[in-house]
Amino acid sequence: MDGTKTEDTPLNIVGAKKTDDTGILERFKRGDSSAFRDIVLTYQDRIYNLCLYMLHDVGDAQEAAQDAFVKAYRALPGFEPRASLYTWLYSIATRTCLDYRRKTIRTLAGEPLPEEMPSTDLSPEKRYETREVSEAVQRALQKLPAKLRAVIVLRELEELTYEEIGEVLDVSTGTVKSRISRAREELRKLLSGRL
Amino acid sequence: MKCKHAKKLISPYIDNELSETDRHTLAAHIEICPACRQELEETESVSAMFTAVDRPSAPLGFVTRVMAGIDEESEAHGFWRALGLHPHLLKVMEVAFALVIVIIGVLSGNMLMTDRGTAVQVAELRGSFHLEVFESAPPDSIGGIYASMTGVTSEK
Repeated sequence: MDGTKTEDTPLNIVGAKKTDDTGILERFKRGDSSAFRDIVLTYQDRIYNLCLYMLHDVGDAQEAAQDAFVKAYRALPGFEPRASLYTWLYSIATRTCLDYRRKTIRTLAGEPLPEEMPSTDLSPEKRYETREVSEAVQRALQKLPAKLRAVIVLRELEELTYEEIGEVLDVSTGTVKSRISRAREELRKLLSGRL
Repeated sequence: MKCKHAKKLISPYIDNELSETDRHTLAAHIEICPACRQELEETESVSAMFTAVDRPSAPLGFVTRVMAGIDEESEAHGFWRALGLHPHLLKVMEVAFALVIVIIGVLSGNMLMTDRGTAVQVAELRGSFHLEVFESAPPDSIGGIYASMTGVTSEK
């Protein structure tokens, strides 16, 4: 996360733990208008990244991520605390992205996403190599069917467990396991030149 | 363990999602099976590539735009929210209201159709067609001449 931002500086850099989620939810139910803003601050990067790798377009990802948070705001009064807030948010964002893809007809040019500020810890050669690998993975991801892309993004980029991915996508753990295996098998074929 | 079964365990093995028993069984199979060992290594390489993938932050102003979108929606539903009506409940009420209008329209239409069956309105309706014109032909008309020749006094 970019520590130089001030307007949108998140409250919890590591990510809200369950106790923090409970506190925010209680504040929201009491009518604290800043509570939802804090939720957005905490999860904006994760939700944005998920949308970015699902849709592979910066503009679409922004729109989908914003849309997901607005939907979450509407649905939050009915949120059951026994589910974790972040898997619930991921669930809304994933469905929003899947709906988005169904509604829009896009020709995927396979263009890489905008480059982040390069890390100054790496040598120029290493930065170039890292950039190459990143672009190759992004291109391969775009060739996966949406359902396989969703599970692999949630696993590899968002580091959710199989159970959490199952909650997000509302499928069984067995289905998650099967889809991840199929996704990796496809990626092995697409990235075979780099293995 | 057969290779077909082993291949299904490779991904959960990498993700630490296997039971202890399955982990040991797979590990033992990998030791003796070059094909499965290669598949495991390649799958681990693919997984490792994701560490190179960019993880950009949400763009500046993202939170402000989200909250602005929520504020717009809140203003649109503000009156109903002030009454304690949730927007979803509002939508349900809109649909219910539309259905009531349709039902009233259908019922009204039915009432009009059935009322036409009363004798008074039937008579009025017949009267509007001026059927008495056809009950007897005027004497100087062709019909009247024919009627006098044949002895027919009315259409009835």
